[in-house]
Amino acid sequence: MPRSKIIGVQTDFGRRNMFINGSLEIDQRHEYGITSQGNGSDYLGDRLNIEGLSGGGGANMQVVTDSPNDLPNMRSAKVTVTSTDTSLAVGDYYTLRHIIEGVNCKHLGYGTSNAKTATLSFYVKSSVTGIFCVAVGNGANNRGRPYEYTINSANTWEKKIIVVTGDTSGTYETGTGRGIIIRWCMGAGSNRQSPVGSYSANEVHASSNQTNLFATNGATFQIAGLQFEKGSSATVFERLSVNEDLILCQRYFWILDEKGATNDSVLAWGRPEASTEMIWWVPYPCEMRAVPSINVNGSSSDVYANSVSNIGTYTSQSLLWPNRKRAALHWTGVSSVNTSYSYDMVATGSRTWEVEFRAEL
Amino acid sequence: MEITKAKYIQFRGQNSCIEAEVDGETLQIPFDPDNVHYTEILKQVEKGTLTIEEAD
Repeated sequence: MPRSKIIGVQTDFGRRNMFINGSLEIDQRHEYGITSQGNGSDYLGDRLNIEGLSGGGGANMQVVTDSPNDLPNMRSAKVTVTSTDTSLAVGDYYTLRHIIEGVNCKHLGYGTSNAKTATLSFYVKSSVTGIFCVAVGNGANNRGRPYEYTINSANTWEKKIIVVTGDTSGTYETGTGRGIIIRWCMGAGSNRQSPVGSYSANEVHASSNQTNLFATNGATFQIAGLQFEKGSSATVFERLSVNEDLILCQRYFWILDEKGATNDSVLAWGRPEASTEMIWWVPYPCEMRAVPSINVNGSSSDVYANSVSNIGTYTSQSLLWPNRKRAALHWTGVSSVNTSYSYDMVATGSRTWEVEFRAEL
Repeated sequence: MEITKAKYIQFRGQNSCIEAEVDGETLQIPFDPDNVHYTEILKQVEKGTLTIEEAD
């Protein structure tokens, strides 16, 4: 039998899904706990950015184990409205988004006359029925196009397939910056609305027909099995192993911690810079998209420098000599280090003290 | 992205990173043009809405 009959007319093989963590299996920040942060810096599962709960409404957001029958034992991202915004101001928006790095979507040729068709597929379940929107746009937020879909039955998983026309105009990043942004809108004021059917030179989240999920207290909205692929048909969801998903996510975010440890365990190795200073070497799990920022959570009393004969704690920590593959952490105000020894950085419990490395888009 | 405060941190007399309040969190930010926090700081400094304080 000819190979073409076995494999059909599919032209792109290998990895099809341009989304990372479309399975929502990875949630490094919250470990499937609830977040309600809607200021744009937080994520509902890795890579699914909470672009904003920018009006007066609020929500609890969580990666949960509820999933469609087609994706048994998988997870979904769930938004539950906890305070309403019944009258959207022009600048309000309630939106989740996935930003695809330019190098991972440049083969679609957006912004050129050869822009290719792509297909977005996902499962959705909501307590509110009606017209909802997804939108496709560029990283500079000056190109955007909404697509409408209908949630037909309340509290029922439905699969949605949207064929996305490639944008032949505008500028789309092809390097390590923001390439294509896909948005799931739950409500948007007129500033971010645009008619369906064409791209416009704006940041677009929805059409004017978008249902306002945040009009109803307790309303829920869930998505699962997120996939964006080249071509005009939706193939089955491309499931990766958990470690494949994790390492892809860690290009953008990872946490130096002792997750899973029940007793003290080692986080890093270092040397004294002086009797009150330590320098710790921290290799990353993979090359990051950009040189990362760091954020420290927890108390400095939950980590210490440990050697053969003494231990020391710090009063101040800073990022030192970072690049895309590794960094150093500089401690000052360290008690009792001996400059003749090398040291282990030891944390006293699981995630009681941790450093986040962030190179998000 | 809301940045309310930014200050240089030094190591051996050289600026090594910027510590800033970003969306309510304290981040230490490298001087990398691909880092979104750093580019936002530059943007706000250029607009005159943010000043980076010198290190202590």
